[in-house]
Amino acid sequence: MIFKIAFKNLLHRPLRSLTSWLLLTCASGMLALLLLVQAQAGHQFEDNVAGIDMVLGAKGSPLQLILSTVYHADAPTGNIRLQEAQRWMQHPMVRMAIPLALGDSYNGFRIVGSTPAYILHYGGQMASGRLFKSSMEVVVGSIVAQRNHLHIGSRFNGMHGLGAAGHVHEGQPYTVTGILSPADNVLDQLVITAVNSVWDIHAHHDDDDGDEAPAHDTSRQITAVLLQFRSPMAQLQFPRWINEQTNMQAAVPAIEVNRLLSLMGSGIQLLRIIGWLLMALAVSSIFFMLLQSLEERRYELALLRSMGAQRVQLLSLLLLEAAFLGLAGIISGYLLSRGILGIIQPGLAQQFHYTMRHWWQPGYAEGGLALLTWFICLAAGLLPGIRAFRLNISKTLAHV
Amino acid sequence: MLQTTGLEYQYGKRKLRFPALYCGAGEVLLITGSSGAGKTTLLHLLAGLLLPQSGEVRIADTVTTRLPAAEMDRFRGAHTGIIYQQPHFIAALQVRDNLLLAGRLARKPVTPEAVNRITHALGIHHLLQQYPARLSQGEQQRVSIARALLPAPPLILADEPTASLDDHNCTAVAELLAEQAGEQQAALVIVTHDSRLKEVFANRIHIGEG
Repeated sequence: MIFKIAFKNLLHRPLRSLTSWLLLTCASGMLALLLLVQAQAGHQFEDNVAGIDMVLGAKGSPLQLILSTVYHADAPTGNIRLQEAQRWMQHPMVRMAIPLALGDSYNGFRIVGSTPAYILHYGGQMASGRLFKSSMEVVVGSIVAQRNHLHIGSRFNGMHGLGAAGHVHEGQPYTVTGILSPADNVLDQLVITAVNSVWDIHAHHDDDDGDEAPAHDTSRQITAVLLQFRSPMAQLQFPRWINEQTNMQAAVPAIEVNRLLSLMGSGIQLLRIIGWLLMALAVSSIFFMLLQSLEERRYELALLRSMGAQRVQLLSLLLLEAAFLGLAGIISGYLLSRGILGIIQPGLAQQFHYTMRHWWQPGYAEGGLALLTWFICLAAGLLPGIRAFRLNISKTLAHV
Repeated sequence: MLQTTGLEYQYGKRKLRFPALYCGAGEVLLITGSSGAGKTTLLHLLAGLLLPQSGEVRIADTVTTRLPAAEMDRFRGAHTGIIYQQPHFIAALQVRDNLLLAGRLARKPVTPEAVNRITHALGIHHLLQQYPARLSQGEQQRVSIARALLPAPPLILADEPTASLDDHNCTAVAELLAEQAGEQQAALVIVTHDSRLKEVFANRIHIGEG
């Protein structure tokens, strides 16, 4: 019965309840969204950087170098000469060196000229077909294949650049020889081919308008090299050697990612403060709503007591109203955060090759947030509840 | 059914002394007195909403003045139906739920037949789906009588039940109240300064000066 009264009371004053509910929805939705984005971003950033100690590339912004070669989310800084890079790739302190030749794309998905070691490094597994063997053969990531309906044997033309409107390399189609199973990292969104393919395409391209470097063996160019060292010593020495002795640049992903996350972090921090302010607003609106309705319902509460309701029942009546509102706000906030993510998700995937995994599932942190929100709501109901508990029924009933 | 001895209650410096009262099952006791004589205080003492400084209230062989607060609430719910001068309801609930509420809180479930019988007798059966705020004063007072009667308590207390009603409604409501209480063999105590009721009920006690 107390349950029913609490519920009906909220519906009886719909405007007031609606205000509190909307505020709570916005607050918990925003905080949930931030938690989610942060967790996903951290995940994604760390997964993709795993095992890459250093990236060797052309001079420019180190962050841009990392973004373009590790996350495929920016334009490359430029090209380096393969010959020059090889000196470092074959260094005894280097355990693994994967060359990357970037520059082309297919329907917004980047074409990466590399070696099978690249696929291996990101834990790629063939879902069907085989690895590329000769020039112009490609292996495509699971999302690329799915979005473009590619099968083994499909042929497509690459496009210069990463934008939507670039120059199409006509007459030199790629052939799909393999499709990867989902790897849950950047691999899913890439077209991988041999470095040779990129060279061949641009060699031909050069004959047309010559805006790329000539394709002579001695001056062959790549975009970058992903390096893994044998010892942490190299981690310290290599960047210095390379930045001092060559006109190439060495960037350490861990450092750049940290810098990026701290940049993002301060933005997220600000949003989080706004979120908690909203939450405070929502909770005080619940508090004042209950307090006000308590004043208006003094007589009702006294009446309940005179009909045999216990003090505890009055306390729980007000707590229940706060609890109902809290629960409604948490649930709709959750739905709101998922709705917003659902809307921005395709854009993120397209622009930043950023796919979210299991994004509809509530995480632990979100569970904690929900619980915390609920407790704050209950706390907001506590004081009005205690006032109801201590209500002097005789006085209230006598003074109509 | 209801018996009091030596009830005293102190408001600051003012001490109210009440005469001994007795009201048997199926009887009506009218307590009259001018305003300020302590009529409402007496009613609250009888209902256990207030504790007297001395004296005791005995309802159906229980001395209620000695019950702890939580038990008093429970006892009141099960044994006492109260009708107030201004009828008040849980505004968010329909008349039907308001009527069922008393029984639920007293853990004495009220059957739909009982609701049917009493609302028909009081002429409010067509108002069950309404919200209390939409009812007229006379209708509201009848609903609050139904609410007090429904859990079939052995004691019914009425505080100026007719003060806000016109002459026609006044007699009708008072007679309905007495009739229904009599049917349930409940002791009915009415506290009032309404002289119109003195003509209806013979058994009365006057409190206050004189």
